[in-house]
Amino acid sequence: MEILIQIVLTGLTLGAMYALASVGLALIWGTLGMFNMAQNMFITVGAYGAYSAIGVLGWPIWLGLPAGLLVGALVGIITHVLIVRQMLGRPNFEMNIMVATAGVGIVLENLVLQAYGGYPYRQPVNITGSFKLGGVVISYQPLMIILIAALLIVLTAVLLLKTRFGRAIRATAMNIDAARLMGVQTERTYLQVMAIAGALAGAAGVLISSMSSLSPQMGADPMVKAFVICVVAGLGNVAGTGATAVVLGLFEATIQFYFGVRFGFPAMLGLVILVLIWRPNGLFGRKSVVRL
Amino acid sequence: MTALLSIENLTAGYGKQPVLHGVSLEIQPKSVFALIGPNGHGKTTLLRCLSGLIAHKADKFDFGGEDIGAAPSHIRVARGLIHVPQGDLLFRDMSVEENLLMGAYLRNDAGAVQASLADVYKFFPRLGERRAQLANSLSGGERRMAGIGRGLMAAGQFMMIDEPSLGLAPLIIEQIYDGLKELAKSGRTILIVEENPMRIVEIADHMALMDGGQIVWSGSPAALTTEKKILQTYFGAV
Repeated sequence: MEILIQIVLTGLTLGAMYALASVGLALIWGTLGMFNMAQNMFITVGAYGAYSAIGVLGWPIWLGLPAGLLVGALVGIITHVLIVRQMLGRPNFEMNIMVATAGVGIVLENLVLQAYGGYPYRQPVNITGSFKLGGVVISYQPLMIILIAALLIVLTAVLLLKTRFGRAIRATAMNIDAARLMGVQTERTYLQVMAIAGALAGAAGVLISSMSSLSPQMGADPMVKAFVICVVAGLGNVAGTGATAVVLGLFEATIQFYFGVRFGFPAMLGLVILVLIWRPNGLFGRKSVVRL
Repeated sequence: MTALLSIENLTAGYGKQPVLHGVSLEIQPKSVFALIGPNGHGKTTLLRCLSGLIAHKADKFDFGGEDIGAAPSHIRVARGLIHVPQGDLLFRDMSVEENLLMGAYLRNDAGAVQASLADVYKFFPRLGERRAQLANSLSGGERRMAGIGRGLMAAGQFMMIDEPSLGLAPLIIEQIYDGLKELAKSGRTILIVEENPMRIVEIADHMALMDGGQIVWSGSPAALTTEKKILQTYFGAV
């Protein structure tokens, strides 16, 4: 029972962080039809944004997460204005934008390295302390992570599914011509999507770094996992992506506990291969995406 | 009477390939204007120009007394220029009701939007029955109704409907055209694109025939039926 609680808690924490990291990726893919190779740096700058706000500028700790969200959104907006908007609609967009956003990622990574160095800073946005539940010691930090991630994802879902603003985003994703005929300013919708995705990734960065430490490369591992999650869920399916992230987090935690930490990721990839053999378009995918 | 829409010498094309070579037309308010002609001669392209989906040039592009030739789509929609596109282009993973609400995207008065929604359900009772269903589960006729209904939700003064009978069974076409006849009485200005002129003779006030990216004939429906030569050239023996 104690073991089960530990595994579920670890799994949900992993899943929550993965979900935050991958929902933005899915949203961008579903709306703009591009794979954002700079997602790792959206995550990283969010973490450094929170670190700078609290650790350097001395803001109160509860502003750490909003700072990470904000910096992530800002980087999403800048990436859109400088790069994505210039390339949208051009021939070979799907391929070129991968190279271009990978370039954005490299530039951002080196900027972070230049500004902060490679020192593994501790994320000051952190809650210490723990309590006991049925003989199991539970820290507050993972609980906060699960809570914050769940809150942000539910907020995003409500925004997308229940508001006029979200309807316009979904409409643009489904049929851009029709969306424009309804009066949607699709250029602006794209910008909003990049900002939302950046904000979610930034929040993921804050949470991930609070469990380990900051480094310019910290976004790489979550992005790989986020990409895997997006593929398993079916590219562009936002709700499915969130659910898949939680399931894969639980799976990874179980493997890590019984076989060792180093088997977590290989086992996850093995499961992904099996899922893709069974459902080549992903668990929630419908039609095959014939691109690239 | 001043025309609601007045276009002079409009040209457009895809890439370097010109499709429209100088189209001019005038549409009177509260009239039904039918644009007819064989497929692949620029009718749909013209509508896409009018709604601002593709780039175009024109000597004059006047809508309701305002030059909107350079305006983006959302401005044109806001002015009441509504385009019901060919093939409906519904939002497939949204419910019928969400699709209809997208039609009212630029309207801010929630009460009036709800009233329009009720009107559309009254106009097409089938849509009311299917309101919670996803658009991609609808039949062809229901999709057409949803497409037209979505256009109605914008409450615009001018509606352009591209091939309302395309791909439908004869019985369904009749139902759709019954609906269009009702619409024509509602005081809106309507532009209908139709391949088959005979379907539309009854409800049109004015007709124009498009061929090779130009308007080659225009006149009243009565005149068309006497122009044996045109009918034979474009539509075979009638």
